[in-house]
Amino acid sequence: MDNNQLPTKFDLIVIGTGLIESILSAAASRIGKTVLHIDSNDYYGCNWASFNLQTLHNFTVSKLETDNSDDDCLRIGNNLFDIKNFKTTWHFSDAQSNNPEETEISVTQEDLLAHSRRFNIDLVPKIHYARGDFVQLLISSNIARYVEYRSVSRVLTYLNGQLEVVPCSRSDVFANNKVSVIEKRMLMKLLTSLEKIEERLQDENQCKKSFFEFLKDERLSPSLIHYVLYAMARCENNDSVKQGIESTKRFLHSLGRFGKTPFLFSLYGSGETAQAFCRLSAVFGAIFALNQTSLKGLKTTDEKLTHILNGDQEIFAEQFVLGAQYAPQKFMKKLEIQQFISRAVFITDRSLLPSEQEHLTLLMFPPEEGKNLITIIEMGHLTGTCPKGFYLVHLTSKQISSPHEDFQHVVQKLFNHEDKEAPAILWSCYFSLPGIDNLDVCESLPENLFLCSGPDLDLDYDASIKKAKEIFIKMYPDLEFLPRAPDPEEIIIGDDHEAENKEEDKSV
Amino acid sequence: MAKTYDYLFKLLLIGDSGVGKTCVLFRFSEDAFNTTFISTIGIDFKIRTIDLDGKKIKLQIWDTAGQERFRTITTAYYRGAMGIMLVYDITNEKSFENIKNWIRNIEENASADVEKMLLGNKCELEEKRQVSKERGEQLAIEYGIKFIETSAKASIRVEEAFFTLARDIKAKMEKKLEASNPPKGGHQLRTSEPQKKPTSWLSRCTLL
Repeated sequence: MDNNQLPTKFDLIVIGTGLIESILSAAASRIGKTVLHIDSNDYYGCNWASFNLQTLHNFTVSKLETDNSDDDCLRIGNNLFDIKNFKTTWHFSDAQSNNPEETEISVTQEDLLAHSRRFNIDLVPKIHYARGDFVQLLISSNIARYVEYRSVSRVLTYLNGQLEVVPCSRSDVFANNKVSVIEKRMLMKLLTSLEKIEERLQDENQCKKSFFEFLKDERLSPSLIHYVLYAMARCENNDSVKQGIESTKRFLHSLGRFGKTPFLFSLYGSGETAQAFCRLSAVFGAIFALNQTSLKGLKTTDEKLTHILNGDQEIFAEQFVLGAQYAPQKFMKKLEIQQFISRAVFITDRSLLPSEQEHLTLLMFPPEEGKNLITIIEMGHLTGTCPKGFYLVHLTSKQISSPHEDFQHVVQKLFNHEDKEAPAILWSCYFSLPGIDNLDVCESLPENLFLCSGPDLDLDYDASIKKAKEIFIKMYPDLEFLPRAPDPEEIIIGDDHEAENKEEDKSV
Repeated sequence: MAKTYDYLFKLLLIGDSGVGKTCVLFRFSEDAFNTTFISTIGIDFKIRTIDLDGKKIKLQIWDTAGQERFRTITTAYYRGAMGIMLVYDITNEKSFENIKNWIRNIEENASADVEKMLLGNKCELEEKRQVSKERGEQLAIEYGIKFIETSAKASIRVEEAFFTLARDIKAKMEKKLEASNPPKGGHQLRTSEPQKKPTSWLSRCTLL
């Protein structure tokens, strides 16, 4: 394209296309602000992106050009928030050739790569509560039109050495023969009286208890405790009772809206979500430019940012929003971040728990052997993230040592290659994502610069929505956050258009 | 609410900035023309329902929202698209050369069986023509797709272009249906809750 020059004056410049940056871009553009939204990568999403197999297999952390000697500006970018320990491996064992009668396993690396584009592999897979803030925002802002969703069709847990379906709906309860009638009664009693329990706990000042202890005190059977604690509340053993009750309520509140479970997943992968916000932003006039590798630095005057240097261009704006990885090193008071998220992705040849229909599965793998609670999402081809006949399995947990070590026990238990029934891992990918729950690594910032944190450990985007909203309110205190965008049929092109149109008719 | 159409086709417009994508869209959807769009602000998609062989076909035609300008079309834009109009400007050589890049972009992002068509727009500007009709035809043959020269301004063959694309998609789809390949699908989230009463087992658990 010939015209590569960007305009040079905006209300807002957003650098980075991560989720929070994209939400802010959409929100500002939606209320009529002029927005320039740029990214040094040639893809959308930063650390929230999804990739096809080939691209992810060859993934390298992209670096901004930092060799320029222009030192009177603040260089954009730091390496604190880089993805670490990235490793991909093909697992086509020789065992296959030893078993010539098993012709069904004849997949090769080339076969998978030939379907590379059918894979949409999330760096950060997210599941949404059907009545959570994120889903409500999608609907109320009309951004829902850009993305499609599927319901998570079952929730599993790992109990007494095997996978169990967690009863979510009434029919699940009927079908469940692992839970006795008495247990069902106990579970019902607990779940229907959570509000009352909450009140009672305040009176009795029992809040210091862990949710686990509380459930034990309620005399729930071990398997019920397991269902509620890990699968519904997604709690670790020492999480507080308050937290436990809140997340259980959240689970229950989202039941019965879109499917059998309270959860939704975005078709074609989680990376679509940031793009949906970018689309809205563009529809309302924002200018997008990816692959801006000559993004150099920020210029300040009197504690305020004034403009950015992009190649030879100086581009001015009133406000600046940056993804955390674009924050100048100068603002970083620490040189390292402590908390990482362990991630693994596997391509497998069958489901963890095969059934007649293809399932989209959420499995909460309980903390054991000194490891953390692990969120496992298994998706088949109906999610648009992998070709038919394969599954993508995503593992996520708070990092203890390394992704490999954090998930080793799960791999042994669920993907044991000596067990012929278990899924075989054909390809694996391990990496550590910087976990940034808060940006306490940053020094005090210029008043018109706002930093957006990267992915968190949450199952969903609700906390990210909240962070985006907080920044929006700081930037535009009196304006509405993502009001409903009109439907296309509601847009009427003004009168001058009609007049012109009449002239047009005459001339034809 | 009863469905007012038999098929819904998602179509995309692709091509360089300034080739007249939005004008083509307006000509087809509203039979109007407006030269005052500087870029594609506020236009998401337009809908027009057409009759084809006794079937009502709702065409949902998406515009690029200006994201083509710096080649930043989202991969999400291509999802679920059944037909793509590749548009160039016959008075702009560069926009014609770039069609190859757009086709590569489509191959990377759209579904493999998406129906494509090449449009040489602004054919009313004969005196400024830089790309001959023959070259347009030749390129279309190379990619095995159909080709038409249109003018959104003078309202020439815009209808014909969309009807042709829609007819080809319909034919392909009916062939597929015969082969009984049920389409996969997700759901768009709607404001209204499902009609069915929430069957949360908490709301009525008489058994327990």
